[in-house]
Amino acid sequence: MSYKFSDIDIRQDKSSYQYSTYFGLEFFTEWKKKRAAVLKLANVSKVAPLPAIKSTRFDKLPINTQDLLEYIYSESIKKRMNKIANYWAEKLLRKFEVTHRIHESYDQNFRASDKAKHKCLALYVRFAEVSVEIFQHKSDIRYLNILLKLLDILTFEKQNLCDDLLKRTAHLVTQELKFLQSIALTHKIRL
Amino acid sequence: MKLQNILFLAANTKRSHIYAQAMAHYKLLPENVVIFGQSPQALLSWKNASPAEFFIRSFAPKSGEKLSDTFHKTATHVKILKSRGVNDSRVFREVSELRPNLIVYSGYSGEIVSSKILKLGIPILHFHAGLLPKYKGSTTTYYSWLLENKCGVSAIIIDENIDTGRIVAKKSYPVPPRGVDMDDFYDSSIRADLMVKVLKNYCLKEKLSSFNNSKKSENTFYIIHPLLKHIILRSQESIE
Repeated sequence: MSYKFSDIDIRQDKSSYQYSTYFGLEFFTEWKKKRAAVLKLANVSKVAPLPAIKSTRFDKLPINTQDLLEYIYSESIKKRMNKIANYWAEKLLRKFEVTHRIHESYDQNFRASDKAKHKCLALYVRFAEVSVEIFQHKSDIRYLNILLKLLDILTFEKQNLCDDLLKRTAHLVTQELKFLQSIALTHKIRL
Repeated sequence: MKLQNILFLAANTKRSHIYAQAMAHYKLLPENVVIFGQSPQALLSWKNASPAEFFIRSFAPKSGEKLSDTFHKTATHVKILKSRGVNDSRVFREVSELRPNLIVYSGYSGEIVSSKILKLGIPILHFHAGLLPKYKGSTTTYYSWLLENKCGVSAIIIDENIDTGRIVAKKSYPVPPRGVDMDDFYDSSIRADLMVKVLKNYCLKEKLSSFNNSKKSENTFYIIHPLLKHIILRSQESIE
């Protein structure tokens, strides 16, 4: 078997995770190999610093997703995320889980302004960083679920990531492993 | 026991097979059965509980029986409709003509019952694999297992939103024993178990109980990532 979820572009297949088959221990081995390829490509010896927050305003329509993510990120790193940031994080979570895409902007009904514009990898990296923060602060497993799916996309796109995004993705990969190992231990298994 | 004015509206799925076998086993036979799907008479097979022989109370579902055949031994009236899904016009027409007091529903995963059918005003009973209102959405059996080491089922009357309808009953269940398949077998078996409880109660009281549900759509769960699913299933394998 192979860990297929980063061999295919899940943004093109909304049903890719449905009724997934159980492969036992080998599945973890294959997943680690795929993520190791990202680490090798990034060639990082130490953790890359996270970029500074670029903006904390997103009050214009259409909603600029980069601004929105920066705002949520700025709140997610605080001990208590405010209700507005939580509301928008939920909106993005729902949108991503349904479409497996992050669009560059959304209209007033939170529909993609331009359906073709969903390939900006910086948005996927930032949303993964947001997910890490929310999962760490709120222990909300749904954000870990999102992180795993975002990393499948970023692993699939590893050759197309610029140096900065690749280093940040590598850092996310190490965090993903740490989170999953911790959960596995509570269920008395080792990855 | 014949359940007068009750319709079992069932897609030809493994889950419907298990519901039907539970109905037959406990002699809770709906007056009418409508089976729908692309191949509504096809024989489906699933992994049985072996190696561990699994019973839920005295009931052990068995693969290898057609959904329509389960009811042929009884006097139940069975209608078979070739259709794309529950929202097909043929299904709507049939439900409109039968006008039951209650529909026991077992549809295709992810298919939402249209407002056209809901507007008929017939309560549609659905068994959701998760304790509501906490576990709304998809693959909640796995999330509940992962977070609380237990499973749960809620019986709800379907409304226009996902998993927000009136709760009729809910019950916690242990996680499946080692060797018992979750997707095809255990999940459907515990739903069938609560279905039996609800139908027995309905026969006695001629009404359904009611508990509050939350209309909020936040905290909805979405399809669990295969890595999380593997952690859970791997932990099941390691149970002595």
